[in-house]
Amino acid sequence: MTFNNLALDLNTLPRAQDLELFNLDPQYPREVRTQHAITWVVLTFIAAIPLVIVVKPPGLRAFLWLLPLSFAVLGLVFTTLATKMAQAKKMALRDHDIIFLSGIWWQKTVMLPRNRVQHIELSSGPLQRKFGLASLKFYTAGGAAVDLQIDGLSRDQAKDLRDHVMQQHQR
Amino acid sequence: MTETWHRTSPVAVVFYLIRALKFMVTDGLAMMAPAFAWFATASDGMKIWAAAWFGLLAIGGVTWAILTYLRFRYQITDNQVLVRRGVMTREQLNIDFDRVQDTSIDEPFYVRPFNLAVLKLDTAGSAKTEIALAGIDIKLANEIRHRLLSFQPESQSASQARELDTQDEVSAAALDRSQRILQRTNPQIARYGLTANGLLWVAVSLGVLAGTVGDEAWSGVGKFLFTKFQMGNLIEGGGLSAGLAISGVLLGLPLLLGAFSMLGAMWKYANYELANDGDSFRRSSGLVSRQQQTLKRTKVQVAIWKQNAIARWLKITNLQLRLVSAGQEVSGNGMPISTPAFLVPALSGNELLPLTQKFLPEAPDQRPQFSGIHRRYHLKRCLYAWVLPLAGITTSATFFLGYWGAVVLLAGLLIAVLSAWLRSGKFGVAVIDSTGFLRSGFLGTNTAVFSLRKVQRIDLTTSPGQRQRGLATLHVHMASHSITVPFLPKAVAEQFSDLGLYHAESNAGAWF
Repeated sequence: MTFNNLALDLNTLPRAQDLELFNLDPQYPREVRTQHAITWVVLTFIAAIPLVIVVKPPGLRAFLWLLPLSFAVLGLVFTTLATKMAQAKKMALRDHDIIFLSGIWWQKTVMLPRNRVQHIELSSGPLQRKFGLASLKFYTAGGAAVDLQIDGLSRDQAKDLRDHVMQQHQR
Repeated sequence: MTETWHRTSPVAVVFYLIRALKFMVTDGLAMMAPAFAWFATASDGMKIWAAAWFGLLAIGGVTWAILTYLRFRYQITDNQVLVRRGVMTREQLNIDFDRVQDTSIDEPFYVRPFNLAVLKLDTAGSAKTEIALAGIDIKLANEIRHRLLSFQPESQSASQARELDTQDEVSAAALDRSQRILQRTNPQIARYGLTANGLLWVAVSLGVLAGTVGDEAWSGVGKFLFTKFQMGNLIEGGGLSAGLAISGVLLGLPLLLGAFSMLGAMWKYANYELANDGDSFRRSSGLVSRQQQTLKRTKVQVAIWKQNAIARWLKITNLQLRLVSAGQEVSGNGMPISTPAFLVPALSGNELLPLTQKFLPEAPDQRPQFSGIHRRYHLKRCLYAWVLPLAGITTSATFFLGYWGAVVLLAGLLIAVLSAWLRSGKFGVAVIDSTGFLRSGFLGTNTAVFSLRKVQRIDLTTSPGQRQRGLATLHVHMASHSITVPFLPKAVAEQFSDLGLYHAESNAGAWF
């Protein structure tokens, strides 16, 4: 990259990558685990329905056992994965931006300047409320899609973060 | 203040009628085709009913157009355009002057004799509320546009507001203040017509098709068409000559498309003129209907230098200016709406940079040196986008065609390596001062040029393989669209994002 007569000294530019990132609320991985566990338990039960309906022949019955079993194994794998991914989510708050890191193998760093945030949405589902958590969605100009969604914040953290960002925005 | 709602000229009915027709042709064509087929095959008794049905449709269209005109009212206040419209459901739209990002004045041939015009207003981020004041006096249209462009938000001092009033009185004189900064001759516009992307793909695919399919296949296609459409009566000689005729048609097709494309370009951009008045730009062009499009400099998010293979061969670049987009919003018929881009066609190498500077004052007066992406990108691209699907196709092709299936694999692999190599060479990023450049492309290049302070958000993604080699993929999100540059050296990607964040965060000014 060429940087011609740049007024800034590149070495003194604040670097987003050197930041100390902090984990989300410790309740968040638990909430994710519970949510996935519930989904997969339900799916396993549904997969077991043919086992109840089909009585004969015994060969087919043995084969039908594979259905709920595979769902149970898949559920275990995916629930563990989702929990690990929830634990891997990290964020940092700087004076002028929010930095959010997610992913274990495919990692993604989202850098969102605070003065570009147009509006913020705070929401919490039934399970999230049970764990005292909330989701924050940040929107910027152009495009109706969410720019940044942070799921694993405690309700108080989420409210504080929202107020903080909006306050800065109005200034 | 007393409310004075104005009505447009009755000529607007024609405008609405054409709009209804356009809608029927673009959205209802699939629906109409069976109707036409039915009409063609129906017996005489049925034909009367069919004709009645078409008549009903026509009456419906005309009624809709008249009702739309009768229901349409507008009002211009000090800082707002108010519109009441709607046939079935009535709605009132209040559009603040400072929300309007793009105005255009069209003079279609059917309103020109009456000294009327169609004023179109486009607001930032709301595709649904595009407004057309059809059939208003051309002088009024110019005046409204002038007021929109010279509008100062209320926070400004009262003296400026007074100044605005006096300006209104001399608006006709003020309109002439604008300076012409660029003109395109019609041969230049014709050349721009040749650079249509569709044309390029037709040329490429026809080349591939002609190369891979043998002559026998052509005569086979010919035979099929002849028996199907009974064209044999027209040309003697059966399958082979039919195949030749079709080859001729296929060769003629690019020429025909080229001619059409040039005509299309001429229709919209003939007698192209770009004028500049302070901080706004105005394009006026058009063969039959004169069209004026205006935009403010602050609304420009990204300037794109578009140069595909044909354009490079003709040594021209098209400059496209992107405004805030409505994003995921979709129109009533489910199609995504794209805001019409502001285009400056057929620029030579010498004109490109100075003109870009007019739209983006911070842009440098030199072309950047791009830093490219890692070679591994095309390996991965080959693997995922070509080799894996090709393996599947080859297996099935071998099953049906025998050893010819392997040829498909070889040909595919050749295209894969070539395309990935062509594409990976085009990616690049550069920064000069506070201007960012992101380049991508396949046959030719698209270079996005933008002020770094207009950045909305930046993402960096890395896969395990990329991390091992110290690479990262950069996603830059602008208010107009998003741009991705894959497989950059991590240090370059991070430096770009740090610079982007710095400029976005240290600039408090309005960016759209």
